[in-house]
Amino acid sequence: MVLISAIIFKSCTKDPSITGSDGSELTPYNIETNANFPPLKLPNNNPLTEEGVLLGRMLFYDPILSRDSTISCNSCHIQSKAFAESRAKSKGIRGQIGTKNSMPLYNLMWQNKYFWNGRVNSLREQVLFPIQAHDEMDLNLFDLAIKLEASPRYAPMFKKVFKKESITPIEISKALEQFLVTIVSFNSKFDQLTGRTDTFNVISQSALRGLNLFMKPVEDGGADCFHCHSNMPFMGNNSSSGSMSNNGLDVEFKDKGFGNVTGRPTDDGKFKIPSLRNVELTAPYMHDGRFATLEEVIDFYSDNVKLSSPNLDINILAHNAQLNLSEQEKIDLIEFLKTLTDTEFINNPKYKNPFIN
Amino acid sequence: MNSILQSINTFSLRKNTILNFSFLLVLITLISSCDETPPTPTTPITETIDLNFKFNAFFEGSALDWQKEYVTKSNDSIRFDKIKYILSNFTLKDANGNATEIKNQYAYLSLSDNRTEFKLTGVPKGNYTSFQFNVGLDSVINFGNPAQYALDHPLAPSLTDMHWGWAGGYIFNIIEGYLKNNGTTGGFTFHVATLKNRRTHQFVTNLDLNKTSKLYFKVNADKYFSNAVNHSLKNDGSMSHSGNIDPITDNFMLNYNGTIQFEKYE
Repeated sequence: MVLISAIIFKSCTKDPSITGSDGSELTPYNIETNANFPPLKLPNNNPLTEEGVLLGRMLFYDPILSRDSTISCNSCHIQSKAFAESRAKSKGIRGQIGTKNSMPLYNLMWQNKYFWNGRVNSLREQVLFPIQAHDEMDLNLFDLAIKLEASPRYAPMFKKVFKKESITPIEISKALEQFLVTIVSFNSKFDQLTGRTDTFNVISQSALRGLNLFMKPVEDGGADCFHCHSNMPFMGNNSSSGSMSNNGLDVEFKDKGFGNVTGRPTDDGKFKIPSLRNVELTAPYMHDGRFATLEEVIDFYSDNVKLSSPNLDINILAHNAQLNLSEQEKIDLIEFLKTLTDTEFINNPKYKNPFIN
Repeated sequence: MNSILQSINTFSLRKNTILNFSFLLVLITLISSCDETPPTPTTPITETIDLNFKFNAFFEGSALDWQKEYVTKSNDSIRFDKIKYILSNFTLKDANGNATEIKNQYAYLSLSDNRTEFKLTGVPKGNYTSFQFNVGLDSVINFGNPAQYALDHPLAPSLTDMHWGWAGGYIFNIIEGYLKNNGTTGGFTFHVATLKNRRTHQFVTNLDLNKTSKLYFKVNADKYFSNAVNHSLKNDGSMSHSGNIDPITDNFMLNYNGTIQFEKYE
């Protein structure tokens, strides 16, 4: 009875199959999260399919995307590092060193701005920038399309997924988008606290003290991290209005960040507030990778924020003093941050290099 | 669908057990959920409208300039950066005192981001003598799972940046800006939250919602610091997060009445 009912119920829903260009059916791709995550924000006009996601994943790991076929997206976005990397600044083709630290890649579908300076508002648009950047992959998109059309590996895959004979930058970006939106991180120890009363069995007492510090405002003796990093479940700020901030790194800006994008002096020094999920894995830190360890980061927020920095975030400016955390408080905060590590995510075979068995 | 029902009927008669009646019930429910024909209405249809709201920020009667430095009655030199609200419990009352609540509709305003308008749908036409809304949310919604909301919903944290996470509920009202003090620039932040700081704003005015479709409000930003009391940012506090024992918030909330003022309708 249950089985028949389920079949009939399914008949009320839309036909999940997607037809490819050769008449073959594509398999819809399902993304799993947990109950604390908002509804999926799937791409417009780009239904996720197993075949499309695999195509995007192959492109992500394939150096065919660079001019001299020496680097791939994976060169700077490594799964074991939450798809960040351990270099302070990214290395492009011909050994060129970029200007920014690679951002980690996960839970991208829910973000509103991409890149440290927030210059792009959609993932589909974002994926094409590193391919073309001269100090990164330095490949003209139309040259890439020609390479892919000539590829016996990729040409049939594109045709099947996108129902088109020719490959354009649009299909390339859609394929990469398909893979990237499937990269989700939702199963850290912190996530596992949901609904639990025996929190000590999940995270340490030190981490719980760190959580308390993280979530409390300064006037209540907290470290006030939550104003920028409590947008649950992302532990960052991916809101459309508040995701860019100056956290007081500098008094003078070598890189104006969001100010370069908007042209407004009031945005100078603002950079994207990153998610703290997996932050244990994403060293070095900040947009320019200036801090090598979490300890250095916490030292900065405790003792060295430049309070005279123009456009300093108001939530820092309002208390207008250093936090002066104790050594134990610093340890506790780091212990808490480590509970945000999602080992299942960094070992998920769905995200691994498809060219390596 | 008829053939399916006949098959089900035959099957039911043959077995004739309670289990199969349950099965039939489940199937009919599921099948009827496939039926796109709307049910026949059994109650009179009330004509409704979309009621639009528009909020404009002012300082001492003039349109608020977000780039301008203002001086409060307490001689604080300030520049506003954010004024944001979450509104709920929109209710209209007629001359007989009958209240009509527009349920399950919420609004998010961020005046500094020019998000100054919203609309309520399904508002019954009629003549009303007053209306009200809350700045803030009731307990169930405030402490519900914010993940339930689509990303463009007024209560979606990713839209508003007004949820504190970790069972902290929502911030109902944010007033933030810069404060000059002895030549240095500091900041002020008032994050109004918790049920005790939820406030009802009531407006008594005749509204003919057979004709009216847009209501205009003034947000009198100066009144947050000078209304029932003068709140000196330098002396009475410039930062508050609505703690359980929080004299700064308590003083700030004394000025709440009249911060939002009904302006006109059209």
